[in-house]
Amino acid sequence: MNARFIFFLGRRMLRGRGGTARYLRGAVAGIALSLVPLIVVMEVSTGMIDGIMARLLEVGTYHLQVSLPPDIALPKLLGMASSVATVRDVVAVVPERQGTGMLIGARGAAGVSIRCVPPDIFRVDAGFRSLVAITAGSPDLSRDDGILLSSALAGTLGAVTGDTISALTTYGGDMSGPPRLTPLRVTGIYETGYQELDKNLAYASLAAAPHILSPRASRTLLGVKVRDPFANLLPVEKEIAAAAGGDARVASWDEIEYARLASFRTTKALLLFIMALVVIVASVNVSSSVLMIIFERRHDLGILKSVGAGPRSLSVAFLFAGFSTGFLGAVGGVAAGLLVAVNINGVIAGLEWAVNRVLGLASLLWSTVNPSAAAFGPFTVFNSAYYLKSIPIRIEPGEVIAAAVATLLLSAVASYLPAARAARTRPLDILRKV
Amino acid sequence: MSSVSLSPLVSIASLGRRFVNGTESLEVLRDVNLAVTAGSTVAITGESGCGKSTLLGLIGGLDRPTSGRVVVRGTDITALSESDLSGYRNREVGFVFQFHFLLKDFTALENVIIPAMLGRESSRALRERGRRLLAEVGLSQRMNAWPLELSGGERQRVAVARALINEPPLLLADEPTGNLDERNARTVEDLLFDLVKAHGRTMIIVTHDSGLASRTDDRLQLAGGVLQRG
Repeated sequence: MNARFIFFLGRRMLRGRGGTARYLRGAVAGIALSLVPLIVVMEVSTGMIDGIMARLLEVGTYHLQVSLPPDIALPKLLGMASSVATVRDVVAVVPERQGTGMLIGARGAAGVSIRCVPPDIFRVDAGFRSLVAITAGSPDLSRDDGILLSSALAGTLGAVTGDTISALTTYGGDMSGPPRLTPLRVTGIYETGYQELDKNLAYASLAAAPHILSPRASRTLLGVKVRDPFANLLPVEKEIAAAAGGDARVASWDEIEYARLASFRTTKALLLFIMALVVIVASVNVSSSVLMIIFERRHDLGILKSVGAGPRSLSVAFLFAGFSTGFLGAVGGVAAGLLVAVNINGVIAGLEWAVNRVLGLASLLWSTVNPSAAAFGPFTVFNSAYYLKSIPIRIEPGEVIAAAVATLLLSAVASYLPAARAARTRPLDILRKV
Repeated sequence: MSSVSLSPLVSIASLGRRFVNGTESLEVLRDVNLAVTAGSTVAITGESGCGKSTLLGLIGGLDRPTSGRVVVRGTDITALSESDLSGYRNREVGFVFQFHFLLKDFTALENVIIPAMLGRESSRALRERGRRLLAEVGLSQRMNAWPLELSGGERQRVAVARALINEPPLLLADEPTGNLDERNARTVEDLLFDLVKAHGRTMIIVTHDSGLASRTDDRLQLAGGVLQRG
């Protein structure tokens, strides 16, 4: 086997003057095009899942929750928070009381989850601060009657900062007690970017919790943030339980959100599986291209064998051509895929803009025929009610490299099999047929 | 048979080749015996389809016999592995076919040197040797031409140069002038004999051309699967 001969021959197959090189160029394009959706799905779903999980962890569930008796007195709750804050790796502790109720505004009402938190939550909890953006007013919860509404909720209620809204909550432990109506003043409006969190969540002052939420119809907890929520949390859970005392029950975020996390992972795995099938089909295309080249160059094979090229050299030369095809396709596909993935928000916005322009034009034309017809659209790629308002992109180099290497290997295997078979043919059998 | 020698370059004993296609069987060669001494030229003539090219293919290691042995320079090539047989074709034999069989994606010079690229010689030295050979066959001005840009006679001259690039002791020519017009045929014929003589090679040539056959040291006829003195 001679590397110079193999390289020379393989290169000519890729750049040959004859028409056969077009098969490999077609295969390069096929592989590149098939890799684009794989890379986009991989990186966008990673970004999407990470983005949602970050919001759930930082704004929704905390990293760890210490469930406490609902009727625990506020001073004791604050004392426990101080105690838990001393545990190694704990970076923030937020005492909280959660309950449900209905908020009534000037324009409408909505069932919500009311979370009563300390006024210094934005100062104490950096993760919360980074993901809860105040879009109007201030995050001030120092007043007992203050409330923060999400922008979606404010829209539903028709409330703006400074407005007074009412919180309707039940005060009996079995939900059958008399309702309590508490006037609250909207001090600020926020957004997390995750509509599922935003649409039915309001923050009130922890000091106001006893007035708004019945101890028997609410939950009291300590929300704990640690240095690394993705590390093994068992040791810190034990330390927190010890610090919080006998009644405390500690649960980590992956226990609380296990079903949702499993659903995300399964969805991503299924999507990747489907996209991987596309790549496999594209790699089989390499095999077809090599087969076509072998068919069209069968007399070249005969000639090369007649001058002494061995079966191994010829197989490896075709393998080189197939591998190069896979390499070029993988490089092109990864580059194009990353380009689309990094700009996915712009791509989606552009797509929606273009489709909506067409729908607008179609509506206009259709209205001339049927003036009473409703307009078409609007078209949206993602319903932001279920996803993030904007997709955070996180490139995972390991995933990208794995996809590229798998494509390369598939291309190599796909090209080797037909080449090895062709290289075993006796030269006279080939030359006789020319 | 060729002149008897104690150590012939090519020695064939009881060679047979049968082609089987489904239930049909065709015995093209049976009990072929031949000895060719080094430095001689031998012509094999015979009717179309009598098995001349098959015999040449067996001597050149392009095919394997059904029975018998082909010994070249003391090595029984019928017992060689595929890999060793490739090495034999590369180093011991040079082929000139009726059709030029040039690789269309390679220039004239590249076509000439491609058998030698399987060896270890430097690319620079190889190209230099290729240029010299192309000059010998009168194509010093056409080295970088693609096969499609060459005339039939020029392509065949490139094929002759390619056959000689590895300086093989044995040259096998299968109707080397069969596809050429009279003038080009004579040019290639002269070239072959001149080069074989100049380089001290042994040549076995298969031909219908009695004129070409008459220029060889020995003439044999293949008929009914058996080789006879012509």
